[in-house]
Amino acid sequence: MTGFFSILFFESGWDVRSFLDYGLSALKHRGGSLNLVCWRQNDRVACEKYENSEPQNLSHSGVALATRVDSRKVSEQVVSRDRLALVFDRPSKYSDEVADIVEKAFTSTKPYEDLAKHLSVFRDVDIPTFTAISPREEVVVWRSNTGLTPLAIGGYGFDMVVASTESSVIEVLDADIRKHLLPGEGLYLTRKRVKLFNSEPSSKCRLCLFELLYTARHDSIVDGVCAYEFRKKLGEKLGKYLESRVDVVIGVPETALPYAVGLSHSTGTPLEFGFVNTAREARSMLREGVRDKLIAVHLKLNPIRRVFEGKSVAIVDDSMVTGSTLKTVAQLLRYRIGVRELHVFIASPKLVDTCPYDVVALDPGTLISAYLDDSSIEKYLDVDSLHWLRDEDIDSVADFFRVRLCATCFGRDAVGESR
Amino acid sequence: MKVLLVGSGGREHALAKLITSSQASVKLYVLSDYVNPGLARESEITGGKLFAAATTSPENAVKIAELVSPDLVVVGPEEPQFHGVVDCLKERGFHVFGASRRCSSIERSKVFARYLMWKYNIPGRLYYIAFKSLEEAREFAKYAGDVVVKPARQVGGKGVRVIKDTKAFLSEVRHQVKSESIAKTFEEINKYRDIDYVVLVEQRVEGVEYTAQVITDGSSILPLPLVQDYPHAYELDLGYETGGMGCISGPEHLLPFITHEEYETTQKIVKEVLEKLQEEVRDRYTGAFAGQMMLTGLWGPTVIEYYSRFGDPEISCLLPRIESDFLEVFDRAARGALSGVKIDFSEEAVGVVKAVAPAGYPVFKDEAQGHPVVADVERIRSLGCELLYASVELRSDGRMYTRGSRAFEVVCSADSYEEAYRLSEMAASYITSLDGWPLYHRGDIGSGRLIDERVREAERVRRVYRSKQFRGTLGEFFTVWLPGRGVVENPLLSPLGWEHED
Ligand SMILES: Nc1ncnc2c1ncn2[C@@H]1O[C@H](COP(=O)(O)OP(=O)(O)OP(=O)(O)O)[C@@H](O)[C@H]1O
Repeated sequence: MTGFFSILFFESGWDVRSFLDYGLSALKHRGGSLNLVCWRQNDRVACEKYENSEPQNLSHSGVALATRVDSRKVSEQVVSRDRLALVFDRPSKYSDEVADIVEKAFTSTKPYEDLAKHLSVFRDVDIPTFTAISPREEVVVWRSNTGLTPLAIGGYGFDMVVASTESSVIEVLDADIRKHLLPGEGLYLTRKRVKLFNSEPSSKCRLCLFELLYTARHDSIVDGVCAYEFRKKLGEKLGKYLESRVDVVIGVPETALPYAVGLSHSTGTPLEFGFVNTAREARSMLREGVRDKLIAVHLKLNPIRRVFEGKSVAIVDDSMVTGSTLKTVAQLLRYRIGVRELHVFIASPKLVDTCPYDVVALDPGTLISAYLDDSSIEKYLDVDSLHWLRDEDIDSVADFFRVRLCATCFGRDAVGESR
Repeated sequence: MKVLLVGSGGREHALAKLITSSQASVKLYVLSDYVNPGLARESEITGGKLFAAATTSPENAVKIAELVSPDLVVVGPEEPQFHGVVDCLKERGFHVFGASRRCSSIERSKVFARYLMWKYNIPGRLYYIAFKSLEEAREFAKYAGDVVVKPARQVGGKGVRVIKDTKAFLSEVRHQVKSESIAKTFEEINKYRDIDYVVLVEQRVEGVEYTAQVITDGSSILPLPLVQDYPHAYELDLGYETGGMGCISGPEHLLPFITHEEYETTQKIVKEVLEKLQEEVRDRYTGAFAGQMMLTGLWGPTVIEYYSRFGDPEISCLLPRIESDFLEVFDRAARGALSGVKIDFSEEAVGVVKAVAPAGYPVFKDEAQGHPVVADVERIRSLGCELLYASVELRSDGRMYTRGSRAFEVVCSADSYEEAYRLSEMAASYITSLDGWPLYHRGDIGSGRLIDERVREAERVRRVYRSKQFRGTLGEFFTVWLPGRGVVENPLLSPLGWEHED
C-alpha cells in the first residue's frame, strides 16, 4: 500500500510547498513512482503531478494533500473533481461511491454527522483509508473500517494539522502525533470546526501484518506500536531456530536490520553491517517491474567483503516473496565473496496467498513458499539452512503489543489479541 | 454586606457565585459591559442590580460605586485594572479586591514581567529580547531559531505566535511566518498607546501547562489548588489558541501530572515575584494573582506569563471545590487582613470545566456572534453541575444571544475524573443553539486519555530538568560555540533596562 498525508493551516502565511516536499520524501520508501498533490485553486480543487515545489499558485492554499502512488493505479486510488480531491491509500472498487458521500457531506451543515452515517453503510466491505479536501478548505481523513491500514493525526502548535498513513511524516514535518485513529474513525477539519466522528467499523478489524513487518518506516508508530520494536521482538524469536553457532548475524538492509538486531541479542552472536547502499529509492520489493527490482537489489546491496569472507553467516530478512532478493544475495556471498556457511532466517511465516484487500501487491503465482518445500527452497537459494518464524511466534509478539493483525497472505485470518 | 463586582464574563459569574454563597447576607451589584444573564440573575436574587456600561472606564466605576456605596468592590478582569479602575476607587476610599494599575503591569507588559524575573534572578525565567523597532525585530528573528513571538502588551489572548523551529529544512518557511507575524504585531499594538516595547521574542519551551492562582493582601499569600487550562480550540489539542476551552483541577492541591515538589517550587516563584513586584512598582498588591506555568525540561516549573487576576476559566474549576467563605477572604484581602486566614477545599474532589463556544470562535467572531442559544439549567443542575454564563447577552426580546466568544461554561465535580468527565459531557450537551448554528466544546478535556498524555509528557520533561538539576545547569540553555568567535552565552540576550512609564 502506498501512503498519503494531508495538511490544514489554521493561520495564514504558510507556504505549503516545503511541507509537501519533505512529507513526500518521508513516503518514498513505500513504493509508488508518482508524486501527486491536490490543493485549492480559487473555487475548485486541482491535482497535479508534483516534483520539487513547482506549482506557484500552491502557496496560497490553506489545505493540501499529497500522495505517492503507483502510476498504474492512479485511476483506482485518486478521485479528482472540481469540488473535491480524494485519495485512497490503496485501490478501491468503491472509490466513486465514497467520493459521492464525501462530496455531499462537504455541502452539508453537519458534515461529520453525514459522514459518520453514510460511511457506516460499508460495514461489510473493506474500504481503504482515505483523505479528501474541498474548495472551501475542508479536510476529511478517515481510517479504513476494517482497520487494515493505519492513520495518525498530528498537530503543530496553534498553526497546523497534518494527518498521515505513516506517522513518521508527522514527525518529519515537526508536528506531534496526537492520535491514531480507530477503524471507521474519521476527522473532519476546517478552520472553524474540528470534529472526530465514528462510522461503524467492520465486525472483523485487523491491522495488516505487513505494515508492521515491512511497509512502515522503523521510526513510525503504527496504532501505538513502534515498528522498530515490533521487528526487534520478532527477531529475538528467531533465536530459537539457530541450530549451531554462527560467526555473525547480518540483516538485509533496510527493513531487516531490526530483526537482525533481535536475533543477535537473543543468541549473543555479534551483529555486523553487511552492505552499503548505492541507490536511495523505494524499498526493492515495492518496485514495479522485475527488471527494476533486480536493478534495485544490485544497487542496494554492495557487500562489505571483510565482514563475510570465510565466515559462517546468519542472514536475516523480513519475508520471502519470490526469493529473488535472497537468491541474489546468496550468490554474491557464496561465489563472489566466499562465505563458509550461509544460514537464512526469515522473520515471518511462509507467504502462501495473495492479498484480497489490495494492501500488498502479491502475485500468487510467484510466491516461492506456496510452491516449494523448504528443502527445495534451500537448494534454489543455495544455502545451508533456512528458518521461518512460526505462527505461535507471531501470535506471541502480537499479543505482547496487544494488536490484532491480518495474516491472510500467510494463510491465517488473524493473529494476536482475541483472534 | 454590599458588594460591587466589576466584569462581564464567565470568571465574574463564578466570582458572583462565590460571593453570594457567603454566610453573610449579601447584596450584589455588578458593573458589566453587557447584560450577562448569569450576572443579572445573581444580582437580582440578592436584591442588587446589574449596571451595563464600559467596565474599563474609571468614571463609570466611581459613579456606580458612589451610587450603591459598596462595602467591597471586586474587580475581575485585567483591562479595568490597566485603566486605573482600582486606583480611582481606592482614592475615593472604597475597599477594593483587585490589582492596582501599577501592580497589573506584571500582566499588561510581558517585557516588564520578564525583566523583573531577570533583575532578581527568579527561577523559571526564559531568555527573551524586546524590540521597539520593526526592522530590528525582523532582522533578529531571521536568526532567532526556535522562538515565540509575542506582543509586548497583553492583547486579550491574541497575537502570540509559537513557531516551533527544530528542523533546519523547514526553517526558511518559518522565517517567513515569524517575520510576517512580527509585522502584524506592530500593526496591532500600535492601536494601544500605553506601552513602549512592541514585540517580545522569547525562547520556546515545551512541556505541560498549569496555572497557579493565589490571593494576597500584599503580605500574606493564600495559594489555591493548581488548575490545568486547555488553550487549543479543538480536540486533540489542535487549532487556534483561545482564552481557554476548559480546565481540570485536583485531587488536593495538585494535578495528576505535577508532583508535590514541583508545586512547592511553583509557590516559591509566585511568592518571590509578588514580593519583588511590589518593591519595583512601589505599591501594595491586593487581589488575585496567578502564574501561568509550564513544567519544562529547562527549569521544571517555568513561567509563561502572569495574570493580575483570576484565570478564566481557571477560577470556575475551583468553584465546586471551595468550602471556605470566599467573600470573607476577598474582604480581608482588600483590607490587608489576610494573615491567619485559611482556605478550605474539598480534598478528594476533582473539577472539570468545559467552555461551550459558537463555531467561528476564536477567529471568526463576526460569524460566531448573534446566535440565539438556550441552556437547560435544570438538567445541568440535576447532574450536580453549575452553569456559568460568559459571552452571551440578554436582549430585549428576552432571548440570549452569543457575543462571539466562549458562551458558557459547565462546571462539574466528582470524586474521580472519570465521573466528573462524564457529567461535564452530559452537561455540555444540554446547551443548544436555536438557529442551528453549531456550538462546540472539547470532548477530550477531563478524559483519561488526555490526562494520561499529560502524565507522559510531564515525565518526559521531568527527566530532562532533573538531569539538568543534577548537573547544576537548570535554566541554562543557549551556550553556543561559534567557530572563530568562541562561546556565546545567550544569543537571546535579555535587556538590562526597563523604562517604566510611572
Ligand atoms: N515561551 C513559550 N514557549 C512555548 N509556548 C509558549 C511560550 N509562550 C507562550 N506559549 C504558548 O502560547 C500560549 C499563550 O501565551 P501567553 O499566555 O503568553 O499569551 P496570552 O496571549 O497572554 O494568553 P492568555 O490568553 O493565556 O492570556 C501559552 O498558553 C502557551 O501555550
